[in-house]
Amino acid sequence: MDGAVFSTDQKARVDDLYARYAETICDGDLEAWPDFFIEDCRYHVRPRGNHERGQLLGPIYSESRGALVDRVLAIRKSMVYMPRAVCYVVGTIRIVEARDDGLTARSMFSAYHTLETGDSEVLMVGRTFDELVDDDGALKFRERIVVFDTERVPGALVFPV
Amino acid sequence: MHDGHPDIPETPGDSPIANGRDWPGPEMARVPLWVYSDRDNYQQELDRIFYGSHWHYVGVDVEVPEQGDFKRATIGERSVLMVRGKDDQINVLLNSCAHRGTEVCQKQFGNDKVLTCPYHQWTYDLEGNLTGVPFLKGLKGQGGFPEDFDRSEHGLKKLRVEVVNGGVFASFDPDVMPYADYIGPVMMKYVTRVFSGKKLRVLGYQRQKLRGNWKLYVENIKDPYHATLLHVFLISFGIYRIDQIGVTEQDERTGAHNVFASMRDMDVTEEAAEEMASFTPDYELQDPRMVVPVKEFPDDISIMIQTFFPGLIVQQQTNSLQIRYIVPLGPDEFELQWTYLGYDDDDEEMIQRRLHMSNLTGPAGYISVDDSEVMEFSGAGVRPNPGNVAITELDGRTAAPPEGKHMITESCIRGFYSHYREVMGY
Ligand SMILES: [Fe+2]
Repeated sequence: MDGAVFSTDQKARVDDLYARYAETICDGDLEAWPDFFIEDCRYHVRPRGNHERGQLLGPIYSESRGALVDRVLAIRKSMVYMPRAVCYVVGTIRIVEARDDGLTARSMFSAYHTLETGDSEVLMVGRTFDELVDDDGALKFRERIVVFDTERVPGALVFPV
Repeated sequence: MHDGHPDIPETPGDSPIANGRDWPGPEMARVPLWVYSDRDNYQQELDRIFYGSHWHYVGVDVEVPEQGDFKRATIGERSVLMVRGKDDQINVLLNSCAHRGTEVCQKQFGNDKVLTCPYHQWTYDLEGNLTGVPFLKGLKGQGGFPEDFDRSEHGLKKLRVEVVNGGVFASFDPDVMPYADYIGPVMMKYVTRVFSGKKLRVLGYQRQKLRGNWKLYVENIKDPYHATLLHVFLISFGIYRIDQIGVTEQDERTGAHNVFASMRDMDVTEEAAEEMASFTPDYELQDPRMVVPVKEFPDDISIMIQTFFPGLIVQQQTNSLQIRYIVPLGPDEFELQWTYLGYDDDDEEMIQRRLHMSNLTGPAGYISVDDSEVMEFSGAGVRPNPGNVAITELDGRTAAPPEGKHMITESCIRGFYSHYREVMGY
């Protein structure tokens, strides 16, 4: 069965948003990351098992853009960790529903981290369930729920995904 | 195998010391680094500690509310099943078929009337008794098990179980001492603050795999020395300061279980502030929900961190309640399993508070990232240097708890190793 058809323009805007989000993480440009979200937003990262049991708990539970800014500040100022790069690959981006007040979309991703040793390993693979809104001409996340399959996280999840 | 050390005896079991080495002194103030990497030592830990006469955490009773509910858990490297059986009893069974050793159950959680091994369909009741064996009498008089094959002798191995205020504990030793004696009255007094008998609620789980020896994590939790030095975030928001009023207590029997309990005191002395080189008073949160507590317990304890030998940690971080359980994955790696708890009668506001506070801990925790990373730094540092020793003489050289009410001590690490050496024969 075919899915709903959305305008090429809508799809292009969504693809562009997801591509820029991925690039921001890969570039390590943490300071730019909160700007992908509106002020009154939700960003949760949670393991698949919790998600399927209806448990909201996970590594990250943020309910405002301020909380994302706080996390960036902590990553920069207080957290102690081995330097690393994260490669975030996003694919299968799909608009699920378009409404007057925004879009529902989802995607699949894989994130790898490379520590100082030079070995790259899978940090996590998973899906995102997103609510997007137009914020003064820019498409932004009102809600992003990251559900990851890699329940046994290798080491720490330092940077957002 | 290791520089400057005698060869490992061929039959380690014959020797009181698995790898034929001595433990360095003085008193309890040293830990030889081979203890974090030696494979024979690790094997002996599994035999004597994880599969010996000790209690291990397997879950909370609310994880298996109905008859036939089960949950997989791990003790040492062994998978076990926590099963709600007949008469509401919780059984803990070795997840290995009595037939050919296959894991009977692969699902993390489930419910069934019987436990069936997928390989040859041997079935067990919820108490682990073998109830069904296909082709027991063969087919048309051919094949089948010998006449004297007795099903009652071939159940799943059943562990000793105790349920203490909702916490479920198990031991491979049928003659293990009662749980209350195992942890002692002082530890019981503290742990029943959180496990008060009030019905619990599981908010969710987190898991991590860290490249270091499992004991490094135990030590990390038994080490308040690092808290104000490593964790910049903690001290920046008055969550914990080393001059806070606090107590360190160890159990009388072993010294290997302990608790740190600190009371909230927002005044920080100048002297202590200077010590905290990384203290940053101008660091402000935009969304402070994860650090703003409400009074929940009758006393003023804001942080309680309790460790139980060998690898269980119960923590109350203001309103965040967590269980941490350590699963060894060989000498060089371990899994850390987090269970976040609340109470059944929590209102929505309290659940939200606990969820916000969970940002402090776990794989992405504002505080816990530091510890996770340091575990891997420690693992990397100790692994190639088994001939070196660690110094644990902050606040003395014996395993006794500190005399005053303070937490500037490594006494709990010494307590752990004094018991460890006894159990391991060092
Ligand atoms: Fe720590």
